[in-house]
Amino acid sequence: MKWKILIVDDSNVVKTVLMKALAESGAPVQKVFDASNGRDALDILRKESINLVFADINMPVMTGVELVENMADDPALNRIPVIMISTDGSTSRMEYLKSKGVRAYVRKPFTTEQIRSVVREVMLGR
Amino acid sequence: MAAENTASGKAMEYALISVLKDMAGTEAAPAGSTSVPSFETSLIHAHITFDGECSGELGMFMDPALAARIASRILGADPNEPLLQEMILDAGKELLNVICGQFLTMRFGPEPIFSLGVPRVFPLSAQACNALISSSPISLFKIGAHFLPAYVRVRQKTP
Repeated sequence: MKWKILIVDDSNVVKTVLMKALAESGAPVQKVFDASNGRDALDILRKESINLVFADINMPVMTGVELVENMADDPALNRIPVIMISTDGSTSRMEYLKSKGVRAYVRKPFTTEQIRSVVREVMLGR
Repeated sequence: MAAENTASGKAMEYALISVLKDMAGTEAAPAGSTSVPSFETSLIHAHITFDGECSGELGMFMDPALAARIASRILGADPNEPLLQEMILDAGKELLNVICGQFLTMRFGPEPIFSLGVPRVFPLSAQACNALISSSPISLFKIGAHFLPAYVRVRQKTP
């Protein structure tokens, strides 16, 4: 089965680098969607059957934290795995996000190997 | 204030050097006792603010050729293919975003929560750059033949 992935980040550079890392990781990707803020991400999540979300924290309009909180409160969205990708290194923030269902947290800058490893862990349980 | 400047300066130095290496495969080093040169062409000024248990800002000045080279490395693009200015500036924003995140962890540890402002990256005339550079404490880095002045300001909050 191939995955539909949503990348939520206001930086086109991050989206480009992450898409490249996903391609190099060998993950079975059917399609990659992207959004520049949490609100646009929610619109996509409600229309498409997304299998995995990568989300930044600091974004305009709706932050990654607010996105995760919205997803956690929505029975239609709260089972979709989310991986946070952020410059934020605060452990209390990481713990809060994990309490809201975030499956993993990758600190920027990331490597292809980190992406491969975290996707395998979240999607395949390995 | 002097101790704060040293601690913040050291943290910024570590963050800048490590992030440039990890994110852009680019080696940077402190320029030592070299005095900050006077620039004759416009530079790209990148600036970001942060706020939490204290507030402040981080900034750096890059010449356009260096900014393009770094952007190309970050994107894994062919260095002979020119990038759109928009992508170069976006790469500069993300670079500074990541440097700031690493700086805050180095300087204040993993516990405090900070919010980062939207990074701003824009060309600035040589005259304006020289004026800004001469008016604040600057750390000078060398990347190949390029100089990269950078600064950090931290303001403690009054309890």
